[in-house]
Amino acid sequence: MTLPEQLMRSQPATDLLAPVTCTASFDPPQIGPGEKSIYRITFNAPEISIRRPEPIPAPSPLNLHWRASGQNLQIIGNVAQTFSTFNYEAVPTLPGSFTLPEFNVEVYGKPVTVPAATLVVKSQRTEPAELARQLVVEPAANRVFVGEPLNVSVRLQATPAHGVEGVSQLQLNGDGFVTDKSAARQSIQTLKKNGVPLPAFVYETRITPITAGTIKLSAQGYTAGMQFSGPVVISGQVSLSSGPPQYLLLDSEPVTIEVLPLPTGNELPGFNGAIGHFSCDPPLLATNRLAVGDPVQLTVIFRGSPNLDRLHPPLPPRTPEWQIFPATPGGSVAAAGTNPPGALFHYTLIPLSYAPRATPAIPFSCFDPALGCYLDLTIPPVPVTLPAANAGSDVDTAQLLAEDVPGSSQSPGWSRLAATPGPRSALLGPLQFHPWFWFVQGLPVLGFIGLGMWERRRRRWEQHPEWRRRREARRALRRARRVLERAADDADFLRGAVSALQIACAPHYSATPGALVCGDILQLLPAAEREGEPGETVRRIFAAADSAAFAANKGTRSNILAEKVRLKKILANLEERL
Amino acid sequence: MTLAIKKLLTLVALLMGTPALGTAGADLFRDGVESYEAGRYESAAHSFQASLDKHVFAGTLLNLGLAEWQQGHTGEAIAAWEQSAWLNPFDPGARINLSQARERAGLDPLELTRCERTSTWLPPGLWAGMATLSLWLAVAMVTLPEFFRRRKAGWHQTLSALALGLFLLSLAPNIGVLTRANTGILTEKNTSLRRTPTPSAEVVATLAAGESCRRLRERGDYWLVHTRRGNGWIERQQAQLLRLE
Repeated sequence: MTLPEQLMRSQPATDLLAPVTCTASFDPPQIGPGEKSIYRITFNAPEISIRRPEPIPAPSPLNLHWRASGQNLQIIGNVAQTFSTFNYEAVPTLPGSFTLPEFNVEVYGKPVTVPAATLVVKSQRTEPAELARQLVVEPAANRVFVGEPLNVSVRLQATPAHGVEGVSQLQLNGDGFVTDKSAARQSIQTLKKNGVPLPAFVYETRITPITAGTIKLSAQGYTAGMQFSGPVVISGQVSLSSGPPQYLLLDSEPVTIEVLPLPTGNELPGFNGAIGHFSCDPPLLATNRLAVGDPVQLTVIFRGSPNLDRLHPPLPPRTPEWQIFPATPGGSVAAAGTNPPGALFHYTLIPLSYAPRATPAIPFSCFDPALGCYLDLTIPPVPVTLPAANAGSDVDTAQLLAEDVPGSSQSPGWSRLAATPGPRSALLGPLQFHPWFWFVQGLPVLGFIGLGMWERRRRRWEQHPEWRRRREARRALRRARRVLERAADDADFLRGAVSALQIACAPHYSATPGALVCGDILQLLPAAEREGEPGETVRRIFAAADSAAFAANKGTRSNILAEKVRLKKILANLEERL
Repeated sequence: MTLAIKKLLTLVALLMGTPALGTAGADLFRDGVESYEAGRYESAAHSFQASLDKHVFAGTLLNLGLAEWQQGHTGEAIAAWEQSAWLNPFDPGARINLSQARERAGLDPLELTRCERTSTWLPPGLWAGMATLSLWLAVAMVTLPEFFRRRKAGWHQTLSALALGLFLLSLAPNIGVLTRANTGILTEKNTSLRRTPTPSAEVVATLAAGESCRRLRERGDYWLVHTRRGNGWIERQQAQLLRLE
């Protein structure tokens, strides 16, 4: 079993199954006209399960007003039970006996009967008057500024019937303030009431108003006998009674506190809500000799008001020459001589350049409620030194320049002034950034592709020489036909015609065109054409050519130009076969 | 690298393109030198800058850096010397000045990768030319004998292997040139390194003039840069790239 389980099991069980019962009574049960009595209803059930009885069916002219409610845990036997109490105030002005009849209150959704209770109001009493017990709230001031800490004491005076006893579960009721529970103290003191010294339980705490306006502050708590929730300081002669505590829910009359807003328009720089009377000791720097980039700690001590623990150090300013980290709390500083206690904060500063000669001032201010004005608490600059050897600022550069003159032949460590402009690159940026660089890279690629294609064609022709012959024959035939077109006389026509016919037929014989004769040409013509008009035309052309070349009478006119049209048709047919 | 090789490479670099300075450019350069020697550094810087506007020479950049340094313009001086060294890595003047200036200003040198360090041995154009020539020489030595029906000789294959090796060796420097082209020098004092590319963005760090940066991205008038203090955005005119455009 783990320790938490052991602790849980060692606690008494909470009894939630017991039947709900209720008690009701007036405290005190007998008062005079105009005096106050508290009508107190108590259930043995959690408060959340009870629908608060409102209004109370009180007999006229008795009026009951709700004051406070609360719940506490009481150990009965070996079980713990939750008791909830509702306090109502009754201030009858007429004498009489007032009995509140029984009425039902819904608990856990079921009706629970509240027993009848009687209040006797007597105009003349024989026995000593007993007043209703209640707490007394006493603020240190009734007029404060927003954010100004205010001490509040809650007192429970001992009465002749009840000795001094502690108050548990004490809480302050009201809106518009926060309670500083860490500042709570409790004590038993002897206070004079109507000139008679009486012991009293005093609970002191501190509240901070957070809104301007009026605060209605009241307190409530349970009487706890001699059981104190925390240390208690007892001063004077006080007799403490023993015995089990009687848990009674007590409350106080509300007190009014006027909360003033802070004056606006004349706030000082660095005001972050600090309210009180503070002072700032001279800041301490860990070292005044700094280097760029090296952190240094600045220690600041603020002294003054008791609420130092709630003091927030000012945020450092932003400056291009420093990197400043927000302050970290460094603990408290004890009072020394006339100096009040203080709070210590550490700032970490890093110089970012060589220019600064002092730490930056850190603006800070507070509002002094006593003076009603803002006080300047700016953390002053602290002189620093950045070694000149590391200086890189223009100021330091200027100082260094006085030592030597770069560019002159006498200054060691520096180059001489260039006497000529020196070399330059034709291209100022990387070549790869210029588009033409990649274009130039493409030129060799194109060259190699061209070479490859040329080689490929060459190999193809080597494998198929007839392709080349036919291709060349086609080219030559085109040229011969152009010559034929230009032929003006028979001799030119005959030379061109024979040459064209030989060129068109030569690839079919793998022969030189000039070696072909008329019979070779006719062999390539279809049989019908060979015996027909085309064959006759070819024969006539070759015969005329032979006659022109070998006949004795060369001047004979053969009118061969008339065959031009038919020759064109023959050449066209032969070209198609190439 | 021996002096002879350096001289040879310088000659090659010169042959790659050394246009005439021109009368006006030469006059401006001479004016700058005279002004500098007379102690009129601002006038000298103007003359050198005007000369550079006509033609960019490594020596002019070297002198411009000296004139800027004399005026206390650390960033501009370092940028000019870096550019001079970019153009002519064989001139020790720019390197000496850079080393001296950075030591005095407490600045760190450029953070270069291995490829980038190799690329500083030669001018960028020479690396590109070397890669181009060696690649196509290797291809030509392999293919041309076949095209021209010549028997492949031993020297063909040797030359091809050598050219291919040279090409492979020049790949890394060429990559270094491309990446080094995006490095720059901050020329403005107290440059704000911002978280986003807007004037009102949070300042991550403040950088001194002369610090180096590496441009990662560009958006509008802002550059996303990598610096020793981390990444952030700076305004375009607050830095100067090493590559001359």
